Amino acid sequence: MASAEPPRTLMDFWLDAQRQTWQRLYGITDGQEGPPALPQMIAQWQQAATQGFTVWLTGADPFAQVMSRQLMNAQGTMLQVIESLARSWQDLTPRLAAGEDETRALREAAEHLRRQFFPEPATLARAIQESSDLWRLYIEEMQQLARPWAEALRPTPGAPPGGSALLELTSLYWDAYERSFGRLVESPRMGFSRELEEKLLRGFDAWADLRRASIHFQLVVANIWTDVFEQVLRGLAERSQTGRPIQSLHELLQFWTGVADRQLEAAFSGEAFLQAQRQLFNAAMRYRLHEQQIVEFGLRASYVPTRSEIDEVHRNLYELRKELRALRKELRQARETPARRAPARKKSP
Amino acid sequence: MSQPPIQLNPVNTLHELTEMHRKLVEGMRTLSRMRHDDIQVGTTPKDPVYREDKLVLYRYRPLVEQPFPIPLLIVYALVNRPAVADLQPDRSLVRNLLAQGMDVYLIDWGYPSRADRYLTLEDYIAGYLDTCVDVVRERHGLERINVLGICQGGTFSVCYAALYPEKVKNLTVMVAPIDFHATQEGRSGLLNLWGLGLDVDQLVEATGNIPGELMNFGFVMLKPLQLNFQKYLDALEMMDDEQKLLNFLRMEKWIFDSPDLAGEAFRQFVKDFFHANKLVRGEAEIGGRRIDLRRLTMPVLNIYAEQDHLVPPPSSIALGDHVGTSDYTLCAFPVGHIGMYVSGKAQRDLAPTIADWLKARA
Repeated sequence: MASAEPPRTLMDFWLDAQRQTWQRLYGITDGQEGPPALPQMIAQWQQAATQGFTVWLTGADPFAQVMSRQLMNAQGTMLQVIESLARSWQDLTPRLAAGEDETRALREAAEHLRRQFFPEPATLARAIQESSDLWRLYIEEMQQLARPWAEALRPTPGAPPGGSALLELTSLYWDAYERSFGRLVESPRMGFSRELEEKLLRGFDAWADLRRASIHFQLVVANIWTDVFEQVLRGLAERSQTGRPIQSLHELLQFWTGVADRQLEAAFSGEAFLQAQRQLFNAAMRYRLHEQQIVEFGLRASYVPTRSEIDEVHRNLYELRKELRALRKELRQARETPARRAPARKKSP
Repeated sequence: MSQPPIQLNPVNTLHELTEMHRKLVEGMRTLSRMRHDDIQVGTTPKDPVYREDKLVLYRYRPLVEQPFPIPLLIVYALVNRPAVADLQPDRSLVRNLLAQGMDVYLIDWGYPSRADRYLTLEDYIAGYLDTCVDVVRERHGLERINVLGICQGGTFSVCYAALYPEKVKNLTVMVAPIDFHATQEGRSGLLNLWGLGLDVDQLVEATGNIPGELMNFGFVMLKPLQLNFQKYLDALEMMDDEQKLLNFLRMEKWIFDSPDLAGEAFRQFVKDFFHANKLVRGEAEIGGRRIDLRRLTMPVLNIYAEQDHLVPPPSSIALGDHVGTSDYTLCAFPVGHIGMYVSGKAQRDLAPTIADWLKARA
């Protein structure tokens, strides 16, 4: 939950963002005088928001906290969108007025907007070029993967020594983890079996594929968002030319979501996106299967039942249940056969 | 450029923002007074009449003394929960059908756990669904009952009625995908396109059951800004009205209450229906028995939503090209997929349309 963040900081951040947003927005409306009561209005916002946050943070039902967060996020995004669009247009206007190539100017502005909302995928791509880095990152992820269940089984700090059977059991599990999987993944080149080495290497390949697919997907999505912003700016340009200015926040947001969703829908059915999505999804699932094999290796070494073993039990149970159901049905039909000729007996509904 | 495209008057904008904040704070106050239990869906009184594994068959308590003698069994999708057909008292297809004198049963498939990952379409259609039909038939002493299949439940109902035409008096399907490769204005539905690239075998191997959250993510991504962002801003407009806020929260509750999908059934549905489009090609099989849509010789009412972004209208409309009955009725509603359950138009007209059609075929 977001409230894990110090409330004061979160609130300050939110209010500052709003104040700046307003001030910037205010700055683009050239030649118009601002309302004299602006500082007071901002103060009122602050008061209202403080009350809202206070209510939000004290003892509200979890669903209300989630809902509040969604509302806050939506409003935060809205303010960011308004501010960015307004500022972009403010930057664009003198360039277009000076006769700069419209296509290029719009594309650059769109690219700039996209960078404000989404990280630069190229930076990520450069960061993982080296295979040694890849290996290191992979091992780190494997450790992250293995730790939660092991951590969960660790004794609580400060608990009485040798207390409950559960604590003894958790100690046992933790020791087993340390002896087996923990050490294995921390020392990939020493003391583990050929089988595990092969699983780790195959897992590494799958993981590297996933990283590549993920970066490719992010690049494709980044391009799509640049297209979205370009279309939004083009739409604004059209409204400018046809004398249909946007005159309220509500109208601006409707315009933005309408253009963006249409553009996204078209892009999401385009081959570039479909291919990137397919590659990412299938690579993620392939990696998950390798991940499962490696985790199961550790679990087996620790005498813990594996997912595959439980699946096998489930399969057997499913087949037995199905067989039982079929036998019951046959039995029922056999019993009912003589009565079939008579009309169905009515039971009180 | 003739004039700036964004002309926000500072005074008006300030007023707009202030009003928005006032509603937000008021909304958070209202929210803080609510508890999760206040947000109830599916509250029309009903009684469980049959249970099997995680499935429960309910019978709704009739609202009239002498309900229509042929009961109506509602078959909902495995995706999401059937509560959408009974979201709240004044937005309830179920309640409206009861008000029309119908005797309504509904299958609640439950929440499959990992232990259910091996359930197949055969188990759902020739197993659970067939058993439920038998239970209702026996309770009413009838050879045949009426079936209403909704969304994927409509696809299931079509399969079922083709396998067991002797048990279905009249078949109604609503926003049901039938031709999974049908296009609209030359374009396939996004879900179909996304499904085509899916290595479903690998997905099922990797996840066992398909997480409901994954399905939900896919649905939300069909209109990402509208469904992730705009709707919450729109919600601000109703924040100071507790009843409207409750309505919004009920819908939210339903949308994000997504059961996992049994892995094997999902695999078969995606491969045979989404990928290979076997249903309209006459090649789909359930438990080794071929689904021949020409065996749909009972009267069929096919209802679709003209603005459906999940099941493109041509996908539903295609049923008419394949059924064996001469009593086939196609009916359009000018709403979206969800609007079919909650829009004012659907609330007013949908249940009477179904009930009148059924009464004419008693």
